[in-house]
Amino acid sequence: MGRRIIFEVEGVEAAAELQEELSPKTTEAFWNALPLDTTLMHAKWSGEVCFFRPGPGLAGITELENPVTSIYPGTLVMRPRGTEALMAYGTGEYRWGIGVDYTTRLAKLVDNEETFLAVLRRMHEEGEKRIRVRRADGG
Amino acid sequence: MKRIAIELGGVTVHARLYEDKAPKTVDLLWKALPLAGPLHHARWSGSAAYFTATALRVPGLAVENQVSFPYPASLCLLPTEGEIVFAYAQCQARTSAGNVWATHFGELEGDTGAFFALLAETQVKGVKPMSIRREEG
Repeated sequence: MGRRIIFEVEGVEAAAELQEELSPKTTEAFWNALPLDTTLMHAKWSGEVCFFRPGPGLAGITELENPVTSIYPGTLVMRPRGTEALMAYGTGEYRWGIGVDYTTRLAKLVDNEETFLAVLRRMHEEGEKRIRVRRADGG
Repeated sequence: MKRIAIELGGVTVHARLYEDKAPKTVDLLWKALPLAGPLHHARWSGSAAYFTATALRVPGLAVENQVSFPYPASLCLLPTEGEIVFAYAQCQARTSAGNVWATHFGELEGDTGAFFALLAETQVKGVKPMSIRREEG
């Protein structure tokens, strides 16, 4: 079992497992950047997806690892340099103004997925929220 | 010339409709007015918000005066979705399946700064009520 992280939005928590075998450099940098407490926004190009900015701790990760374009529900993906980390609650595909692009798989929800994604789904109606991300071991 | 007034968050803007370039779409909208409902921020199309009305959802209606990347202040309709798209910056008419064509049926006139700020705010604060009515005279 890989290292686990905990997401929390509006008091709803969900555990995710880091995709360390697929993305060793990105997951290591993300782990070292925790804990995070930042703004979660709804995406405007990528569909049923919300995103946050992981911060300067990920700036050194310039390469994609095992790139994907579709963002599966409950999957956290990240752009190079940590400019955006995105999680889909429904149909998602990483896009921006001039088209489609790739992301690195970072983590996958393994606990309380349905309830957590329901909170993300409400963001299209309700607007931005705070998101907190921490190590599952309390670190 | 047909004109409409659009109210959002206490700000009213005015638009002229392109009866010559998009006659069927303008006729459909004109007959459907007045309309009121929620304005949502785009999820696929970028810097835009959209207003959906069942009366404007006519999948068989041909796209007129077609555009792909609506300019800010352009009024565009996706007839398959019944959505009026209000771009406030970079925008492309898209669905989950990809890029689509939209009917450019009108244009906002005058100062749109406050209106654009409210459109952008729907991404941060969520949906806002919008109303659209005929402007007589």
